[in-house]
Amino acid sequence: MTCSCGGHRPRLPEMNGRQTRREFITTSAGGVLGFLLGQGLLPAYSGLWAQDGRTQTQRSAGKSSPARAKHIIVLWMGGGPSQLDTWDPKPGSKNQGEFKPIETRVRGIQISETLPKMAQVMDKVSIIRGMWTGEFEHFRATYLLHTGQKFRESFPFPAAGSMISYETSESLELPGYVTIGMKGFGPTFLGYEHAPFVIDNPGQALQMLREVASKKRALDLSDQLEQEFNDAHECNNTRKRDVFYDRITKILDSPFSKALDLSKEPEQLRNEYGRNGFGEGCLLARRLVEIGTRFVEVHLGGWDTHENNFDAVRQRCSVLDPAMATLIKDLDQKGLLKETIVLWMGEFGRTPEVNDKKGRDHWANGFSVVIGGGGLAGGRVIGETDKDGMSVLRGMVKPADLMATIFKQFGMDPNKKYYSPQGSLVKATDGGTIIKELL
Amino acid sequence: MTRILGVLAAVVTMVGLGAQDRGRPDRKLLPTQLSKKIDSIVHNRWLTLRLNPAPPADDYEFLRRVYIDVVGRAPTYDETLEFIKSNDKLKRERKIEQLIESEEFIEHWSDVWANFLYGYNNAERSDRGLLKDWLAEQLKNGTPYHKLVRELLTAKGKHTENKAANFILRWLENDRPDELIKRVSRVFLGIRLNCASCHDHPLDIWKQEHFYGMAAFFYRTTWRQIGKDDDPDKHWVVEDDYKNAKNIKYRPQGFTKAMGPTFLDGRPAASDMLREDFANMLVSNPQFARAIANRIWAHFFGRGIVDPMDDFTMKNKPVIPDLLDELAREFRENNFDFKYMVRSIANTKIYQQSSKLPPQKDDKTEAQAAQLWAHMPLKVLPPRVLFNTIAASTKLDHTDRFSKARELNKLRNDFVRLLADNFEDEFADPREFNTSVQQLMRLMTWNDLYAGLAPGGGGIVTKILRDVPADKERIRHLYLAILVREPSEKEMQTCVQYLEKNGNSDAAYAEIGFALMNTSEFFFNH
Repeated sequence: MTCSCGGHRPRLPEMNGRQTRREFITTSAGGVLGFLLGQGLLPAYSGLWAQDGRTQTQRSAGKSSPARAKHIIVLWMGGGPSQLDTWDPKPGSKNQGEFKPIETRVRGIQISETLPKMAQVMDKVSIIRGMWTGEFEHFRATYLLHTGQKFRESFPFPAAGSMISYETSESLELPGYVTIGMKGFGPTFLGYEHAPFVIDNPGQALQMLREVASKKRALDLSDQLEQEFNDAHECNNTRKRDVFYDRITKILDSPFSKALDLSKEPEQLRNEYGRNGFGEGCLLARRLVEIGTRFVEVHLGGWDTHENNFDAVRQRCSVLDPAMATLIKDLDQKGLLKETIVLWMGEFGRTPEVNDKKGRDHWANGFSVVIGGGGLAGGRVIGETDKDGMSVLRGMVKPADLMATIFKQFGMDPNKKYYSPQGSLVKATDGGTIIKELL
Repeated sequence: MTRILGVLAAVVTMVGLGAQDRGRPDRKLLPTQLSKKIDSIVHNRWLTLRLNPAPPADDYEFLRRVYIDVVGRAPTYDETLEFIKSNDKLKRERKIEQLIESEEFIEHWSDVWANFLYGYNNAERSDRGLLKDWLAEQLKNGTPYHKLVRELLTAKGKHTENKAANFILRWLENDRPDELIKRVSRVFLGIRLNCASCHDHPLDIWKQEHFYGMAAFFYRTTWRQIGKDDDPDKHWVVEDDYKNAKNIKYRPQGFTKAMGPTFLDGRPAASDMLREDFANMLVSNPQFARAIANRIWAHFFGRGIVDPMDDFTMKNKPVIPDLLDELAREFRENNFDFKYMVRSIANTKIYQQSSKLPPQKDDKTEAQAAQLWAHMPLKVLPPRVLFNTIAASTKLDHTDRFSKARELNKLRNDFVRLLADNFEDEFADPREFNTSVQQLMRLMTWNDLYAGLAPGGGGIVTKILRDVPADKERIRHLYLAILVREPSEKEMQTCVQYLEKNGNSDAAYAEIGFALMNTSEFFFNH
């Protein structure tokens, strides 16, 4: 069990003294948030225990390791992609299906013919073939892979993106956790500073920022018109809102908003990523990593192939393969791959056996996840399923292990404890162990 | 065994479970009497601690607050003006009465209750909308709270026919009623048994045995789907298998002991009708009335008498025990009449105090003042309430775009969907501002929300431009409509300057409206 109740929830420290927003900003040499951090005041905003958390990190500093990764890009395959038709082909098995295996750049590693471009960069990433979750339902499995924790209705846990944003963001002026093409999971007790910045697509987000910018004049007026009220009602809520509005004005003319403009990229490169939602999302992910975003998640759906699995997988891979391979090459060429983890996964895999509708159903007992960059080894295969893909022979990996490994690369302590709002102490990962083969 | 009995004895004395409710049926208080009683209890406490209370709220502040708390939206310009102009000495009492008896009261509270019981988002194999309909019927019929809870807990049959069953369906998992019992104890008893589902609660008296003993009452209750997944007529039913149920043992995986149905106070099931038994024990328990009294209090005052409002523990005690006792007793003695409670609380002086922070002599008294409602705290507007406030302030229902109820409802649903997840975390602090930066941007740029501001679009700005000639009058009108108050001199000056700088254009009025809608004042119930 992850939950070990350790102490009753401490009362929130109320900020002492009254300051107007203006005084607040002028007294802060290093920006509002810098000031807040310096004063140890930020915890009151996040609504939760940042203070306790940070103190504890210091205490347990021996357990955390130097950071090798600074960013992570998660390529999320919504619906659950078939491992046999991508990273774990089973030639000669009754379960093989329609695709043949191909050789890759790394001798001894074969993947499916659906991923020819990825075969060329196989030395950069490793395949975990023994992923095991035992969770066959979409939502619960998606939650599990995003938090490393089993879904419990009454115990919501922060998404990995929020955890990494919370633990590693030096400044909160720009979003630390961005999702592209999906909603993402929330920060729960870490506070809404660490909620995902949700981008439907780069064009829409850019448009949104431009529209906010066009309302700048009225927003400035709003700022003036709320002074009297805020002065008379000074509290964490009004201050927090101020900080958020401040962040909005800062985002408008920031590297973040510039990163959204994909037209700055060469045509050639844009075509290589693919002129589709996912390709553009991957390109945007690289641009966000360049400006320091910690966690970016890009969504490619359509993998829930209960029927006509092979046609669907072929089609999905025609989008996935160029985008993912280009992303890895591009990151590498720009020197970013060594500090950026690229993680490919879905909520589960698909049944090795093909059903009577030429489909494959949900399969959580041995499927594939691909990971590399950020100081992790490439060109390796970790774990193995049997000849028909029906069971994990060795190297079983669970979501908590994956989380622990990622957190370690970020220099975080996978065993760090947080206070939940219920006053219990929860561990960052559900008893995960580091996947040594990736180091 | 002795140890367990000892623990249960502690439960009984310390949390009050099983203690005799000191009923005084001859002394039922009328709402105004209870209001006075509440005021005197709280005032005495302030006096003892030498707190400086906030001044009374003026009519504007009172009006906006009571509309938002009682019917889930701010008042319109016309409603505000009518109220302000009235010289009736009893206008506040009458307004409270009028709101309590309105259709909107039912609409708002059925939604509030659906959130408590079910959550904000619709879940699989149950229907939040049907549960809400059912709650609305009960509010309309004046079903007493304890009867309502009993029906929720014992509901069986099809989810479309017995709509109350949607509560059980929302949380029940066959063979594992854990989530259901967590929700039941939290909502109806104000006790969080979550900790005890994994291990004995280290800071409280609850052991895993308590948790599984409670859960065992629902172990013989199951849900079943009728019809295939893609069948449009598919539905779910709740059923019981009560054969020899009294003697069942619930032994979930990972727990070494098997528990028979046992209520928190140690009483076993009295018959095979497990759920009926449970409901009877629940509603007759003193903690039942205390939990609901505290929950209603927290709705109006932002902070419970026990706070968080659903976390009664040995360490987390009521800040004013007499107050909670009084409310719980009167609620029970008035046949758990929900409107009676709302009426009594809304008519108190402390509810009608300003939210402006009064100066206190030191940090300690400042913290006490916040804890003891010496001023009204800012309350975050839940998604639906925020939307309805936008709609009422800007006359969204008068605009060309959203005059059709269908269109307006669609926009409301989209709006609620954007923010609902932020409120879904049942343990989050409801007082905390919880909208993310990206959502705030979305709110700023969601042009449909500002349809009422478009000159010529039919909303509030259109009306002002048409009916009100003078600049200052127009600004005043905007303030009354959106912030439910008059502008200060300085604010008036700022707005006039803004108009002048922008050529007194029609669009500039829309911009002022936009600015007012994006102030913290608009976003909070104060």
